[in-house]
Amino acid sequence: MQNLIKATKAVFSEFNEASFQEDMLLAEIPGWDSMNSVNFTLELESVFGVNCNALQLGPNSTFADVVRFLQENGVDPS
Amino acid sequence: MRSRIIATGSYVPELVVLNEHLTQFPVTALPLIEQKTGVRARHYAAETESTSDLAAEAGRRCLDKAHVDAREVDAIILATSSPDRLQPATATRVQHILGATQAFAFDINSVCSGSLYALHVADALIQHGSCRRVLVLAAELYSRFLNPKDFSTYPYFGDGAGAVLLETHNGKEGIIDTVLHSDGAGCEVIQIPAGGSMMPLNKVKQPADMYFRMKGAEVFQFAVTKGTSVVEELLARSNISVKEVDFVVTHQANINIINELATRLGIDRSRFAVNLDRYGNTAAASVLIALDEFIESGNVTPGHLGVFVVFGGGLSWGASLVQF
Repeated sequence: MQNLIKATKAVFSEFNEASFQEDMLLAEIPGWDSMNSVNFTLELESVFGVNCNALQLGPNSTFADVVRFLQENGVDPS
Repeated sequence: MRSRIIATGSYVPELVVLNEHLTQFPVTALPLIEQKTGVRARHYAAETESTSDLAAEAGRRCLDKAHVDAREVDAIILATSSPDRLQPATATRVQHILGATQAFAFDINSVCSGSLYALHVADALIQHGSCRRVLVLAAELYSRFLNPKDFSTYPYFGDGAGAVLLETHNGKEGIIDTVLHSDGAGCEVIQIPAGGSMMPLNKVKQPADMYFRMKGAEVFQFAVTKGTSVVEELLARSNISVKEVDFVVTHQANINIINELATRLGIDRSRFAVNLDRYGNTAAASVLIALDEFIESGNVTPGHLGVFVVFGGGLSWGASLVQF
């Protein structure tokens, strides 16, 4: 999941890589809010080359939701 | 003796950028801008304009309204956190443009709180007797310091400038009191990391370091908490109740902050000046622009009691009580 972690770190500089777990709530990332969630989806688009318009991230979203979305769009998030 | 506001002025650049013009962001995200902040549009300066140009135009309009020649101004204080250059003071170019040849001029940087810091210093210069007329300016050109790809900052700010001319006055009209506070423990919350001595240009690791950044959630909590407490402190010092306050001009950061301040203070929201929907957050300039528009709209009449409230980087915050 290094690319996903890298994308997360690029937007949330205070994100601790060691805390990464697929079932971690995105809302638990330091600095996460609805505005930065848009930056996160833009970074995912940049890193993985996939259109993220259909990716809906809410307060209960986890990294697993992101991984599932990427896989459904033919991208290997690892 | 008091420092009386004898005129105000403001200037926003011609170019209007609506939310829907921000095509670098997903179309689905654009409604969030107004929903989360109340901003629908902002003005951006032309490439040929710099912060001093915006400030000078606001100052010129203010002096015209007051029918005061620029050569009769004793001092110019410019609040800005987006100066023309690291040095010299942007205010000196403003002085030159205006032809205020008798004035000394300097800058104050308290980010979004700058206007009241400048107003307080101007008031002190007048109370001290060293100045009779002081032109207080606040001007920002944040469009040059924002990362166009950062959705957490870029859509919310705009460019503009405001002005207030203060004059010695033997009467009850004028600045009654000002309260200012700072908390440097929060100096990382709002910042432009690079370009100063902590991160000179040869130490910049990534372009993002050159851009403005803030921790939005922390700023919101700070603004509603300190914005409320500083007004309560200000009014208590003058033994004034919130019912006696005719209008409030607060920093135009976010409509949800303004709504929350109104609720917490128990002051009807209709008594708050609001223009952030059209201009976005113009940082230090926002209070003076909003004040000028509020007065020009006929909302302020002789005898009115106004409260100005600011909060911003530093962290810094403050409030002023003004008798019109």
